[in-house]
Amino acid sequence: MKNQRPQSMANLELRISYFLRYGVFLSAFFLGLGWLLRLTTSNETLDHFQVYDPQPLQDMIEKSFISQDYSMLSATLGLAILIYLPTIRVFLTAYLFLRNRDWYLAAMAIFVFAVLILSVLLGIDL
Amino acid sequence: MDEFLLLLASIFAGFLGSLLGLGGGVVVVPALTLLFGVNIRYAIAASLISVVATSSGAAASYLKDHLTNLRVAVFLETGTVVGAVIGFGIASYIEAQWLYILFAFFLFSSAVLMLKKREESNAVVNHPWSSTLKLNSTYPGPKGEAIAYQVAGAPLALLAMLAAGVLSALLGIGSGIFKVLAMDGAMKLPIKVSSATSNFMIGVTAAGSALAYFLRGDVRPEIAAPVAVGIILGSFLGAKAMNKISAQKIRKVFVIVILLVASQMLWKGLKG
Repeated sequence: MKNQRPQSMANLELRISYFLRYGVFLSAFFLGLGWLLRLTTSNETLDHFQVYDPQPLQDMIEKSFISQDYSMLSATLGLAILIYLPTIRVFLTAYLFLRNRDWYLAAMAIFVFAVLILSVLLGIDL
Repeated sequence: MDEFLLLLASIFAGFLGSLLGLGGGVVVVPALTLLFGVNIRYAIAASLISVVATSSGAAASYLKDHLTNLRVAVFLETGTVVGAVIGFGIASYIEAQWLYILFAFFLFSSAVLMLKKREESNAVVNHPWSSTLKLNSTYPGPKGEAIAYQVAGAPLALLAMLAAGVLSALLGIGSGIFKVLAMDGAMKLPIKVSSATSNFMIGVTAAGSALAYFLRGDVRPEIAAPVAVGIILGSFLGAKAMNKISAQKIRKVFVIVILLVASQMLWKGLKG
């Protein structure tokens, strides 16, 4: 009986990983769409990225909505999906460990999840 | 035009990386900064995105082979995410030229490590922490039999993960090389298990700082999108080509290239 638990856990974790793979495809779709839209509308080069001048994400999204820059919105959505995939994976893994009553590992996974969520706050000028 | 070239360069980077077992960061950051003149902070953020992409995309393959030790991964991830957050903080305060210099040192170390042969020295006894957390496990041998292994030096590995996380956030890399070092050396895991577990973990490590970079605006879609897509395509091709191309010969050439690139990065950093 005890051997079955790690086996079913492994299968569940495998399913989570396939879910991640689909997430990457979904993200790639939005990234590709955004890129295509940009190719048809703008001719910018990479030159203006020589200087570091970051625009906070919220501002960038606001501006894109106002100017109806769909390529930027699509690409940003693609990036958001991609960046959150590991966080989702950790969350699901924590749930799995909890279900298995693996308390130490669940606590660790929850800790990792919490750090990831809180890291978002670092990027915002509080 | 620029972005198309970027896509091509990223495909090449992903291809090489997959063939040689390196992460994207090693090629992406120097390529973006030296070839395309992109500011290193944008380059680092874009590189982290590609690390998340490849790790998430390939996670299923690593688990399927039953080589990845999920428990060890989660245990070590507690170290890497904390390190990543610290690394993000440090990166925000130091000047860009130091990032170039640090990156150069990282490349020099990578070149040395690439030449070193990994020795299989497996643990005989579990560390007490490993026993409590049930980190020890088995992996499939050549005939499909389950080979059991123990997990030593857990605390030391955790400390090493902290450092790996800091480097990941600072330089835009996955720190796979250092993770493998810690798992081979401190925990004394079988080589295949270290590699698989490390590749599985780097997505979370990169996410540790990528989220913050994203919110701050360091991730530019114009750069990150072609890079991420290119690296994914390239790794896929590289994985397929692995059986047909001799990685050893390429490795030697690549070490020379790394040393040249490292010198260029160092020069750029010292020039200020």
